[in-house]
Amino acid sequence: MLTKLFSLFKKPTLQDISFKYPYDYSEIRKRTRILVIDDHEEHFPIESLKKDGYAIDHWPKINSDDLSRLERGDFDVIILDIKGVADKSISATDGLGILERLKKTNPSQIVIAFSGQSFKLSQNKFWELADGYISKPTTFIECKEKIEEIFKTKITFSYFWGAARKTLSDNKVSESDLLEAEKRLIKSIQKKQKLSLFELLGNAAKITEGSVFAATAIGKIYSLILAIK
Amino acid sequence: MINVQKTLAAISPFPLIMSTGAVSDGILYTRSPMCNSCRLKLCVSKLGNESSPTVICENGNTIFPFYVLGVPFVVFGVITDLSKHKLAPGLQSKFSKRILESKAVLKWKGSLITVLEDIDKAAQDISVENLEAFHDVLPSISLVQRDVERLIQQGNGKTFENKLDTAPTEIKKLYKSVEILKERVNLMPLLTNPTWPTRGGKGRKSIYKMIDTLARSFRGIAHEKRIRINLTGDAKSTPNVYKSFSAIPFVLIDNAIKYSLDDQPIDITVNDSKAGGVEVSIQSYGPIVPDDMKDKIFLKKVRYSPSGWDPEKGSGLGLYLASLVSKAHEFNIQYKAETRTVHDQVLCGVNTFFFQVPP
Repeated sequence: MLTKLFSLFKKPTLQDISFKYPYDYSEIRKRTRILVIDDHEEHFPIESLKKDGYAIDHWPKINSDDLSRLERGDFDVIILDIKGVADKSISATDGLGILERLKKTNPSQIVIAFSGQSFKLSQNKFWELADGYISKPTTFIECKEKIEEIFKTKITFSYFWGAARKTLSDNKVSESDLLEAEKRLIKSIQKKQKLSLFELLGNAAKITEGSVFAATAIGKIYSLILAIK
Repeated sequence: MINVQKTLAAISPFPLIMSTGAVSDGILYTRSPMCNSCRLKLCVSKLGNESSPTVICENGNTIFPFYVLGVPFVVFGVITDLSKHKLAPGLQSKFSKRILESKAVLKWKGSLITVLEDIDKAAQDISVENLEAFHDVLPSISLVQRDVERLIQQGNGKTFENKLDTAPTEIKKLYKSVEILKERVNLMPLLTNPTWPTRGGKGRKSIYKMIDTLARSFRGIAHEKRIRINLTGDAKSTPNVYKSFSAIPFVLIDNAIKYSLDDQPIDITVNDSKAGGVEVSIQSYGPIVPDDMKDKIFLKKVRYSPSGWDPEKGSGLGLYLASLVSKAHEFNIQYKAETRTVHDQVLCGVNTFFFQVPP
């Protein structure tokens, strides 16, 4: 009884907040923008996934303009083939080069490796860097299961805030400033009001390369998980 | 993919004992007559125990166990510097050609590992090149898969799964056949990519659901031999497994159908184990594996085929691949046979493959 009473006055943590937002997966499904990059459209069940309510796009290849969209985090989940997706001018090692670049420029970007080259030991780095993998050939059910697993494990508060926190910490934002930012984030979620990274960090805000990535990750918390514009 | 034992036996300058228990002579030394008549076999008992200290057998030979690419063997010359063993004057003439220096043996072992690893890598590269050619088949499988999915999408139901449930039998059969084909193709990386069994991290999976889906997919193939697949059990646990896990039930059900006699049932049970995981047993009725072959059926390219039976039924890879995946999950697949009858001069009975998945 007393514990219950005390809990009424206890300030909520980010974990408490996340429990207040039980996922409606049909909403997450509509909101999450998935991009399949594969020169063979038929390899992935795009049509069937669209019919089941997934917001899914397809690019056969990546050009330089596309690359900046990927780096900006325009897509929430990228399903990337290893072969035939990028010219030498963009990536010397095709899909692997793209994946390496994305994980460097936007560490919270979720990428699922999709390839039929799984038998090659030399391509292991591609599978290691990605957040998950689907081997070719694949079925609709297998792809759906993998995407839903990503929704449950990666489209979460802890994933995006963890990524933002790490980037900010790497860019020398102190632990106490990060705790303050977390408190502001919780308040903004309760008020359903979107705050920018600079509003969250207050005086601790610095414009660095890292702050751009952190802002992208925080943006995903509002847009993807809370649907706050 | 070289046979380390054969290679060692062929090129070793030292007398060796291989894991088969047979004494294999090197090219420089002849077999000791003492070893031929020895009944103690202390040297053989030291195999597979690299950490055991070098010991001297009753015949005066130094037993020096070690491994090359995971294969245990023993050099049994007299390694004087290691053992600080001084030969009795009476034995000196007998062992004069067997006195070895541990440095020389270790140097040889090091060079041998380098050479064997290079050969193994070259063999691996050739396999990958061959699979590269096969890679062109993948788009065709994907095309068929997409077409079947389109056919299913035309049916009635809210979701794809609903539509699949209510699809006409022939479309369902086609869908399941393509699924089997896909699963078969997805076994290939296990053969050439040693990291594949643990790729992608672990996740909670319902083993019952996985086996139920596989059993349903296999029913069409089983039907051709009038084999009925029965699945029972009440496993609710969802052990933490790698994505590769499905290769185990896939191979075992596939083999059960291949080697079962016509008109016989295949009984699969999936229950929760006391340890909090899941225990699976797959029973079929057909030719049994003789006792001396039981441990070998999980080795690569080992295939048991009784005379008079179609030797081309299996590739000798399925159980090897399944055991690779089971080892990655830290459990072993066990095999048990119960003889019942003689069928076409071949001993037949209940074949049971059993395994326990840890929580």
